[in-house]
Amino acid sequence: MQPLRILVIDDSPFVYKAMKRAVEPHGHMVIGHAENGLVGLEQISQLNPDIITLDVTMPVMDGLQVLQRLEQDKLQRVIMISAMSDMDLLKQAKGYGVNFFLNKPFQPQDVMYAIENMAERER
Amino acid sequence: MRDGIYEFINEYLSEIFASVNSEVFNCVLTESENGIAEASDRRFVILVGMVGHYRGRIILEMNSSTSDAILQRMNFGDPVITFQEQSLFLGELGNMVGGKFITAINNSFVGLELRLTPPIVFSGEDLSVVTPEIESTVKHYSADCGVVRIDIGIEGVKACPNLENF
Repeated sequence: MQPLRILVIDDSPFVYKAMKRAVEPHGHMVIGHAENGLVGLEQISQLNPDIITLDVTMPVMDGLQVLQRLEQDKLQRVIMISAMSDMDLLKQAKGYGVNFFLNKPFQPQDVMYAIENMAERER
Repeated sequence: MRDGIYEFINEYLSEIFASVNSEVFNCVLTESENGIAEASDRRFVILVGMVGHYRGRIILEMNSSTSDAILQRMNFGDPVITFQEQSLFLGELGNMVGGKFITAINNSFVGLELRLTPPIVFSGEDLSVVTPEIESTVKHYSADCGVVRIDIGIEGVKACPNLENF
């Protein structure tokens, strides 16, 4: 698999650190960390990441608001990550075209499973 | 349905908390009869609100040595030193515990649509947190890193009579 460039949009430094630990041993790179959705949108347009990990609950702009503003091709690069995963939230994310949803706390192998499946779909 | 919520809490809280423990703390916390040791130690209290068709809050409480040990595990072995960093990590811990908890409630009691408020972290000595208008279910969990107290209350919902209440 080609090395992928990953942007983490999450207000938690724990998630940023956990993401780096999960993906970097596999040759992928975390290219940025945005602590809210608004900064995240700016970084998406500046960095054009291959994969966007997106928290749901954040200050300033939450993850669902970010999804509303993303173009279709970018929505397909999103992995939603949240401490909440009730059916209503999953349906909302799915409605925007998001195919991958990870529960916090996640394991490194969960992240890699989502990334590998996403890359497989892109081919 | 209201009474059913507390029965649900009583039945599933240990399971929910155990899943967070094993994934985040990398240790097993078991339900304990013992409370947090009364030491002249600083304490941390994490408060996460629940809003939706009901209102309530989840409170996690631990002393600083327990907090240090948990945060070091969350931070992949590196100590978390500054209060700002500690607050961010503890807030995330509150989010994870609260998130798992309300996910379980929302999926079992359709229509409640509970959501979490941003966490608040308090720190101090001789710290006691009381929410007098809400009945609470309180449980203690212990492990090698210490004891964590969890207190869950939902406004207008009576706690189970066999549980510790305010």
